[in-house]
Amino acid sequence: MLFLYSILAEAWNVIGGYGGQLSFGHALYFGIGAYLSTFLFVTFHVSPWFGILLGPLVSAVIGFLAGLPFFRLKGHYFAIGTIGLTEAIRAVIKEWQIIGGAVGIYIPLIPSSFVDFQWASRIPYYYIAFGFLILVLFVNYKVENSKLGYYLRAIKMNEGAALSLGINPLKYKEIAMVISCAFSGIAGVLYAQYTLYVHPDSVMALSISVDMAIIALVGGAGTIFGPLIGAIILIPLNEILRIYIGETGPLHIAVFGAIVMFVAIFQPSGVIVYIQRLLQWRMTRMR
Amino acid sequence: MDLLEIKGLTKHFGGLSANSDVSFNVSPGEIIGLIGPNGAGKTTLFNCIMGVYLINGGTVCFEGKEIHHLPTYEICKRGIARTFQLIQVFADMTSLENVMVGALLKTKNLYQARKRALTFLEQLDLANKQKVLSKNLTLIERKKLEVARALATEPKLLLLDEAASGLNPSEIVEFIEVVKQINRSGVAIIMIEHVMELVMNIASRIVVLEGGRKLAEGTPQEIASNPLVIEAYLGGDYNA
Repeated sequence: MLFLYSILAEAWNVIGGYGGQLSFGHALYFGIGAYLSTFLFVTFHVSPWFGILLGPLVSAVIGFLAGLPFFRLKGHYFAIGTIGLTEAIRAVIKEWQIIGGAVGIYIPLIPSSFVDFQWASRIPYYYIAFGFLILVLFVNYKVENSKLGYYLRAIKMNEGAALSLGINPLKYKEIAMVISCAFSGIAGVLYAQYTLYVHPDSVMALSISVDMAIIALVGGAGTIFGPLIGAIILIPLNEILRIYIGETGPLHIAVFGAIVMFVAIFQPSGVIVYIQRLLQWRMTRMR
Repeated sequence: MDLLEIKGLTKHFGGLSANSDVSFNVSPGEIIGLIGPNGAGKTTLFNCIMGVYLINGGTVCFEGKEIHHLPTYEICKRGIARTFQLIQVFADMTSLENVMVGALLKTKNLYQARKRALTFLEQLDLANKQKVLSKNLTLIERKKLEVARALATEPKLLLLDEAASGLNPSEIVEFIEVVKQINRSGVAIIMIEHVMELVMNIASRIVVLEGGRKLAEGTPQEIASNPLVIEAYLGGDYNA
């Protein structure tokens, strides 16, 4: 789960962090990946390995199309638009009987098989998720150290100035969106194969979209390792809070929210700033 | 052939006419001074040239091709760059990164862009500030940074919007040298300027706007002695 959320937060980071386009609808692309591979596997017995290629592709195409109108919106309006689209599609899928409707789809439990992407042990899932985490970190590194990364940051800071320097904002936002949605789709396939169950409220929930954004923002959006650090801090924290005070009601969510608020107030650039300072301090001491 | 050809340019916001029937040409390598009282429509004219506003009438041609229907980024790619009257630097980037964003128009390679950007920072005397976040620069430095960033897109025509305002006299002298140096490298310049000393010194021709219309056009000497211009600046009741 930690790896999965790390992948999601790093995926969100490409458009939300570097590009500054705060999407709160990324569960859509996660859900598309999950649904597509599950539907193909259960109905046509297509290997989820194929799904893990096709899922991100379809997510990327939908993300691209969604970007065409939404990238014309600014700030809060963009965020609201992305929420609206995801919620609308979730409602449609709930009524769509062919893909399970409001019941969802169960993946039948079968003996461990590499081809069918199922293992009795959880270990193989960890390795696969870890592999994709490394890949998405590498992609973030590549984005940061490229023309795309510079242009995205320029667009985020001042779109008017970016325009006057020959930058087409829509083009670069769309490139970032496609990368971001593809990795969200991959995470969706991994999630479906891990839990063996997809349901509109589990894979397209607003809470997933928000978690992606909050993990990245708390850790440090627009940096390579920020979202990963956010996941390392927040996911175990969430589990601990749920175990110790969860039984008494939704109190753990309030405590969780308070911690997120403190980070937002005292270090809006994310926890990664403290880690960078610590590293710098160590470096100077060593000299 | 003229580099830039503005013909009958008209722009109004609702009932307010910001530019009406403005026409003038810019030859390659020329420096044009654009002057006029506050609210004369100078910055609006820049925004019309850069495609920030869609114009209501007339044409803008660059190197013989109409550009007034193109988006801003496309106009920049054709070879026009600008600075802003109200500073628009990328605040959380270093000076070097700001200029690199400009330089990346002509190359995809970050190493090349960094090298190019450094030469422009040196030209504007900012090389020692390359690692400073641009929000921590002084006003003057940020203005210079905008010029360096615009130059990094390697334009044929540079629009300077009050780039020298706020400079002290010795900085103005320095700035004149920089503008001349940019111009010598083959870049035509249109400069909006209130510092008359600067405009009179380096402009080959001056265009005067008033109330959105072109009031006069000519060499600095002609403009300085034009009764219409004196009237516009000093008021109708002024009797010399």
